[in-house]
Formats: sequence, structure tokens, C-alpha cells
Amino acid sequence: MMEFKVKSGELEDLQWRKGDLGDAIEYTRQVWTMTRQGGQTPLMRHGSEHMRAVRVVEHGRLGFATSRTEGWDNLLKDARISSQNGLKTAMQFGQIPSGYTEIPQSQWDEQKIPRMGAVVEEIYTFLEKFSSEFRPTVSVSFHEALTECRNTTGGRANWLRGYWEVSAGGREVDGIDFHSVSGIRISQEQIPSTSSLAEELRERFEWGKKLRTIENGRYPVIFLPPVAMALLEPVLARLSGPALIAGNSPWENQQGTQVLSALLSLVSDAQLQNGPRTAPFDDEGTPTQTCSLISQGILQDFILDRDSASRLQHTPKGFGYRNTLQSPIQSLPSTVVITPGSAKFDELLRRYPRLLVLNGWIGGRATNPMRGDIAGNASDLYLVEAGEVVGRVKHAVISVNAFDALGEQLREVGADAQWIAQGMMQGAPGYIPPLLIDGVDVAVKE
Amino acid sequence: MPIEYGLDDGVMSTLKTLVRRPNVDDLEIRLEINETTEINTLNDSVRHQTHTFDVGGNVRALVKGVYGFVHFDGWEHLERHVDEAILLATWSKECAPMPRMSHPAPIQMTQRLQLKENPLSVSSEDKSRILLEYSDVGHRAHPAIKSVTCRYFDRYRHLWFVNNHDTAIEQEKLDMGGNIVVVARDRQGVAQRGVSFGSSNDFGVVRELTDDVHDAAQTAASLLDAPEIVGGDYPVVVDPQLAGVFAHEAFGHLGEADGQVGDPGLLRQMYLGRKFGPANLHIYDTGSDIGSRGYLPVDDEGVPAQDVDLIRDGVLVGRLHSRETAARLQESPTGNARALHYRFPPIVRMRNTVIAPGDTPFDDLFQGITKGIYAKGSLGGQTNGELFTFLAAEAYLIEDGHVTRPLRNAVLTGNVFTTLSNITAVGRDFTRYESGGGCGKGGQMPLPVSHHAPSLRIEHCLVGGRQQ
Repeated sequence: MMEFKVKSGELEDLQWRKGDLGDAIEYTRQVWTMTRQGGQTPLMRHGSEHMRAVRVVEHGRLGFATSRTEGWDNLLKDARISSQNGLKTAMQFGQIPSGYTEIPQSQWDEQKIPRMGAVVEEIYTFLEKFSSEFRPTVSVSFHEALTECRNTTGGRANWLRGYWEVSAGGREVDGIDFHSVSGIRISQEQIPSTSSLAEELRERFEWGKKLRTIENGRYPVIFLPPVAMALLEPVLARLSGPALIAGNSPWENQQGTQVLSALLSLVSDAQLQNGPRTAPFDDEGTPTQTCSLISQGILQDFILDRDSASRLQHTPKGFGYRNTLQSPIQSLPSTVVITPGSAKFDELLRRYPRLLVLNGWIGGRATNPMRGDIAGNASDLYLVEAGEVVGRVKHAVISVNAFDALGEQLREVGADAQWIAQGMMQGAPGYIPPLLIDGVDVAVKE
Repeated sequence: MPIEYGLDDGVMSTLKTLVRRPNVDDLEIRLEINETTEINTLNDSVRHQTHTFDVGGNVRALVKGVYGFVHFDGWEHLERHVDEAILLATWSKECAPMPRMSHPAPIQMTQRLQLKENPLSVSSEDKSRILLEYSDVGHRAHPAIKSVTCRYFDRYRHLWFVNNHDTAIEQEKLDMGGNIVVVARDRQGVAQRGVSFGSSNDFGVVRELTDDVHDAAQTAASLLDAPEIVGGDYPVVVDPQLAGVFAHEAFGHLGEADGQVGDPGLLRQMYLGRKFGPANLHIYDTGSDIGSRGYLPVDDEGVPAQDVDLIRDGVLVGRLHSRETAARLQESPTGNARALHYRFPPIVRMRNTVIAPGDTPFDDLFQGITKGIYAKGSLGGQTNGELFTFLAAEAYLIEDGHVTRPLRNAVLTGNVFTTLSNITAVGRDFTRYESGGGCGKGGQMPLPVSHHAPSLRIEHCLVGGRQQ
């Protein structure tokens, strides 16, 4: 039987020609996950993935080639061929800072597996006690990615990113009412403590036991981190390289201009402790930094990978990431951070005599990101009266324009930031506090 | 067959040897070679073009009620991967015993592709040229068109699957699709409209889009000054494309049995025989529709595809199963266990979800509507089982039975259990729509699926939108 080898040849052996302009990067990603869900067979999985990518600029055109198994010389050959029809580019492959030449050691230790199992069982057992028909779902995973980068200037660097993620939740179905709760915790060093997660889920489940009805109208709404992140997607789209290059972004000439509320400061932070993307380099070997995108509502900077930066004549700042190993480099932030305010969640609840708290939003994404209109079926919505959560609200559609919501409608930024994982519909992880937004349109089914 | 890899029967015989392990309830090995072409264009230039090979596989082992799953790139050290999968299955705490799974009759099969026009025999240059021509069509259609972005992909897969119950399958698959997004921009703002395409056997579908792209550009421009929908409760007419997404989001996901097992509350609602919709509502899921992106004659557990009636005569009559969920609910596997790629274990997924045609002429769908919404096309949808949301690509106001003017930001929502019973008319205009998107679940996205449907009229649909 034929064998296809993953490591067919060493990166060091790649033979560049004199005068070549390009880079070669090898990614190795490993994930260990333990999952348990009510009624289903528990699953322990481990996956390893490798991807090799070569980019080369020939005659001012960019060529690239990727493969999981192909040898380096063949990849370089393919990249040269690809450059014949490639985009014109002025992309540079600059010096790579020294100090990253050693290959870092994996942080994975198989002795962690029993601990993963214990954590899964601990939370699962806790959730089972919510009610006799609560269906828990728990998973604990460790993600690690090693990147080895070489470029034609002789630069070389190797770096590792890794983090633990615990996600837990579940639901109880009563008649045709699904009462769901979920949450996550992320940490770089060790399996995150789950006591606060368990307590948060218990509190939410208690909040939702009683159903309340509301009327159509405009309400102040606290957008908890998962839905606050959804509001940021149109903002990130307007800031991203492809939208700017295509001329689709209304913010293309707005640097230094007030575009959102003065209460809002948005940062891409590659150095934040426990960040899933916290590392000295992005996925294309550009040194990363903490970069202000919007400061007190004023547009500071754009999200540009190396190629986009060269086209727009900006300096690349480490915004080139792959969503998955097989996807191309995209213009994405490292970790999206909204600078927290000072109000604790309990204080936000008391800001209005009557308000709503939104934590789940089915379909809550922009139909047109450049325009920013978002509407979604509220799947996790609570009514607050006089600072107390008095029940869960069903059959309500929340509609906002993201730019208005983060502009004139934004009343306060909370203090309690939480991690939001990168997901199927979300290109970057976030560290986001609750946002109090006034005048939010709520349509309720009678 | 598009590509000859020169692999001999050594693959199958090696895998058959490797799955012979004692004390393992289920053991399956899957190997894949994937060849993918992706092209992205922006206006008059190719922005990204790749041609990649994925070679790898996975091993799944079930030992005393726990699954171990390992995926890997390359075809090396297969025995070690089998050892690891078994080890992972035994490392976990033993849980409640798993009901004994039925083993469908073993299959020994080789399935080759039968194509109309093979995308792998069309050069990348020709593919790019076709996309750039559509870009030109979009730009010429209206002066407000600011950009035209085209995305094309094709993926050829060659798979070998062997389990320890004597099933051995060698299979070829093809999936291709993409979209063309036209963006209009003026002082009023930004509007976009897209054309989507897909197939599992014919590159020809890419060659027939000129009129669609032209219409999309005109529509995008017309949406620039469209007012936003005022949120509220409306009668809605949805076109076949959106009706298909509705069937997928509003009912298909709920019919996936992995969402039901272990949930006594939901199983009480999802009993077979429950009345769900009008008597002329027939929703089914099929893997046997050749050419559709949901075509799947054998699933990723080696189970032959069954056509599954989910709702017939308005009554719940079936659900979608993997081998495990079928065992847990004491029903039969339906061939709905699917994995996006060798990096994932199979989970219960839809294939081609179909609403059968009804008997209402298109014009009659609007009769008697004083104020309502006509929603066309889809930008996707989402569900949590109980609630669904789908995003219409275009929306128009219906006034006194007539479509009058465009609106923007049409988001239709509802409760699955109540909305199906609010369907009051099923159109005759059954349409086989194939998009270039896909379904996301459990981190596996985009899985190729299809939706075929007629237009529907739905009463009391909650539509998102800001207040007047």
C-alpha cells in the first residue's frame, strides 16, 4: 500500500534561488478533546494536522502553494507556477526578530487526560442536578499550534500557541419551550477553574425558570459578551483589508474620525494573557502587537494582513491569520478586546427601572456587514425590573444596526469581560465585557 | 474517473487486517485523498487561486460505551493510530452501557463518479476566465456596482472505508459550488445581492449564470434606497430557495435524532404521529438525488442512504439517524451519519431536504394579503431546535395582494413547533435549487447539502426590523 508521509523533507532543506522573495511556513496543530453529552456516547478525540505553505513573489506577482504532505521543493515549484497568474503585489518579507530559533516544547502531557475526564464528570454531574430532565453537554479541550517560519532574508522563527477550553451547558425541554444555558472558560496555562462557570450556568438556569411577557417596543438591553461579539462583526468587516481594497467599506477614509461612541475602545491584542492567539507572531510570521483599532470611538487603524497592507501602503502589524489550517491567510485581529468600563454587572442591572439582558441570539448576524443591520430571534433573553432579574422572555426578535448600537445608542461598557471562542461564524476570539445599549427594537409575537 | 492515483487493492487489504482487533465493539478506519481547487476573484483580477491535496484519515473505536477518535494527515503509522484510538476509548471513564447497535448488512462496494462535465478537466485559467466574465457582467449592469466578488471551489474525494463488521467501501465523491456577490454603494449606503451555484456532477452549472448575475446587480442597486422592514407579525410568502432553507432550519435540524436522544422532554414532543403541519405538507430527506450537493448513496458509517419521510400528510413520521442514535431510539439507521472531512467523526446531518410540491398556483399565494412580506433568496439561517431565524436576500412589501416595493434587512423568525402549522399554502412551483454554501453543526462547516422546494405561504411570521 502506498504511503503518504507528512514530514517529507525538512524546512531547512528548502533551496531558494538567489534574489528570491518569499517565505515558507509549516504549521502543526494538535487538539485533544473530551466530550460528554446527555444520551450520547462519550467521545475522546485527538487530531493532528500539518500544513505547509510557500509564498513567492516573482515579477511582482504573488504565487503560493499549500499542501499537507507535499515536499518543500515541489511546493516552491508550484508557488512559482502560481505566481504567473498571481495578483500584483508589493509585499515584502522583512527581517524576523531574533530569539525564536529554538523549536518550543509542546505543553501537552498525556497525564492531563485523567484530569480532563475528572473535570468533565464534575461539571456534568453538577449540571445533571439542575432538573431531572436537564440534558447536559460538557467538553474540555487543549489546542496547540506550532508554527515554523523561514523567509528569503534568512529570517527564521518558531513559536507555539496553546490554550485550554472548557465549554458547558445544556437544556431542559418543557412542552415546546427549550430552556438552554451555555458558557465557556479559556486559559493558556492549565485547565480553567470551572467553579465560576458552574455557578454562572446555575444562576442563568434559575433566572429562566419563570417566563415573562413584554410588549413590542424599544428597550435598554444589556448585550452579554457572546451577543456583544456579534455586534462587532460588522465593525471588523469595515476595518478589514478585503473590504477596503474592494472599495466597499464606508470607513476607507475615516482614520482619525469619530465613527462610534466615545465610550467604545477596540483593541486587537496579541499579548493578552490567556488569549488563544497570544503569540509573538501572527500566522504569516509578522511580529504581533497590541494595536488600537478604535479609541474612544475614533478610528485608529485597520486590520490588514501582509498582502492587504502592501496594497494599501500600510505597515503590516500582525493581522494575518488562518481560520483553519486549510484556509488562506486572511485579514483578522488576534484577540478582539473591548476596553472594559467600571460598572459591575449588578450595577448595570440597576441603570434603568426596566431593561432586558440578552445572551443568545439565533441568526443574530448582519445580512449585510457593511450596512450592519442585525436581527435575530432571542434565545436567551431576560427581563430585569428594579435591578432584579424577574424572568425569561420568549418569542422576541431583537433588531439593531450595529453601528448605531455601538454609536449613539451605547450607554455604558461593563467591567466583567469574558472570553469568547473563535467559532464557525466568527473569525477571531474575543475578550468582551457586557454592553448597555438603549433604544433597542424588540418585536414580540403575540 | 478524474484521477488515477495508481493505488492497488493493497489499501483495502491493509485496512481489513488493521480492523481485526479483539475486545473492540466497533472499529472503523477511513482514508481519504482530497484534491481541491479554489478561486477567488475581485472585480477584474484573480485574488486567490489554490490547488491542494489533502491526504489523511481517521480511526474510530468504540470500547465499552466510549468512543475514541483519532485523525491524522498522511498515510503513515496506521497501526499506531488504531492503537491510539482504542487507548483513548479506554482512557475515559466507562459510562452507561450503550444499547447494542445494529450492524447493517455488510457492503463491499466500489463507487465511481459519473459526471456530466468534469470540473477537474476544466483548466484553472478557464474557470478564472468565466468568473471574471461574470464580474464584468455585474459591473456593466448598473453604475452603482462597486465590487463583484466571485468564489469558486471544487473538491474531488477518494475514500476508503473499512469496519470490523465486514463493510469495505471505496468511493469517489465530487462537490463543487460557489457564489458571485455584487455590492452596490452610493451615498445612501451599501447593498449586496448574490448568485449561488452548486452541483455534485456537472461543471456546466457554472456556465449558465449570466442572466442571474445581471439580475443580482440590478437588484443590489434597487436595494440601496429601500427602507428597512418594520418589525412585526406578518403573513409571508417565501420563494422556493428560502422555503428550502426554511425546511432545513425550521424542521430538518429538529429531525436529527442526535438532538433528541437523552432528552425526555423533547422526545415527548417529537413522537411519531404528531400533527405538525397542514395535510398537504410533505417534507423528506434524501441522499439519492444524483447531481445535487446532498447526493450521498452511502453515509460515512457505511450505511446505504434511505429516503426518509420526516413529515407526510402534515404528520411527523420519521427522523434522521446515525447507527448510534438509531440504536438508542430503537429505530433503523437512515444513512445520515456524515463527516465533513477526515478530521471529523460522523454526526447526524441532512442531505437533500425537500418539500414536495403542492397545488397552489404562484399568483394565488398572495391572494387576500392586505399587508405582508414576499421574501426571496437566502443569506443563511440558524436554529437551536426550538427557534429558527433565516435571512432573506430580498424582501418586498405585499399590499392588497400585490408585490409593491423593496425592503431591506428581512429576517424571518419563529418557533419550529408552531410555524409549520401556520403554512397555509404550498406552491406548485417546485424548484431544485443548489447553492454553494453549506450547513454548519458541531464545528463541521460547510457540509454540502441541498434544499428543493416550492414557494410557501406562512401566516403570523415574526419578522425582525426596527420600529417605525
